[in-house]
Amino acid sequence: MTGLVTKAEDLQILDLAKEIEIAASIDLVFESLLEQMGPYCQTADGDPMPMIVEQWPGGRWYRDLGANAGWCWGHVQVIEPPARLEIWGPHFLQYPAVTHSQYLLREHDGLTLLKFHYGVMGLLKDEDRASVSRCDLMHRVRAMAESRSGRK
Amino acid sequence: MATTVATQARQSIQVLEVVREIEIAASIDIVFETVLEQLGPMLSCGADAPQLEMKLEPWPGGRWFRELENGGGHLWGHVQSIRAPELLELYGPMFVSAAAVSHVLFRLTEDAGLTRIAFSHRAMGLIPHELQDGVDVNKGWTNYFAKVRAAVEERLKAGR
Repeated sequence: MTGLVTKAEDLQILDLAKEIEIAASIDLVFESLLEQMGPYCQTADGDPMPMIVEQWPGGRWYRDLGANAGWCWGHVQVIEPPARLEIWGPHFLQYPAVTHSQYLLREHDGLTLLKFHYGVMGLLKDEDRASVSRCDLMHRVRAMAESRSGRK
Repeated sequence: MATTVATQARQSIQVLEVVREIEIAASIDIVFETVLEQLGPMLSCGADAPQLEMKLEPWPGGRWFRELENGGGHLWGHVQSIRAPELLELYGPMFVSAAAVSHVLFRLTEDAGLTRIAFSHRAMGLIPHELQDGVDVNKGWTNYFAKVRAAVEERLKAGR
């Protein structure tokens, strides 16, 4: 039997921050965010991957494949509609790691500023680091919210 | 429409540790019940701070959380293990808004009418700068155990 010890140096972190201004009300942006993380969720390559966000503290963010099969990406750590959402959990990482996603929304002068912060700690693989960077959730939220507000 | 992106290692992985041994002159059952009560509806961030009205679902996987108005709320963790009146472990993000994980342990033993609580709170991850010195976390647990001790004494006086 062979044991493989992973060195402490293999622990990785990722610290990613984005912000975007959206020409829609804070309520519409929050609603669009939940929908883009939920039924309209996509892979980094743009393929549909419907998820479910249970909108309460401890609620699951997960993919239901039916017959009790599925993936749990995390739990709702903070939900304060329409200003704040935080998710804590493994995300899509299939090894020891913990991720934290934070969305902060603030409305001013008819625009909503959506700030996103994403942190990872664990045995993060390079290909997963790249996948996170390619995610365009923020732009999809903007497109949906602005479309619904009728401003674009 | 401005979009800004920053990907950088702004900080390193940190470890936070609070370890306590507390002795309370009461039975283990009363102390355990009070530990749960003070983590739940009676929890507050300071001696004079308002109660957070937390809820602790006392079963494996149960949530330790706070409900707010308008469908909001905060999840602090899940019950990792519970074996009344000897053991309670909680696992989760606690109050840290970051990629970090906490483990909280209460291990209770009784000897001749004296209950000892071996307590630890250990956190690891991208712990925000303002929590790294451990001052606020230590104050929080000091306040918590002072309230546990006072509540146990009240129960003993009331004969409950």
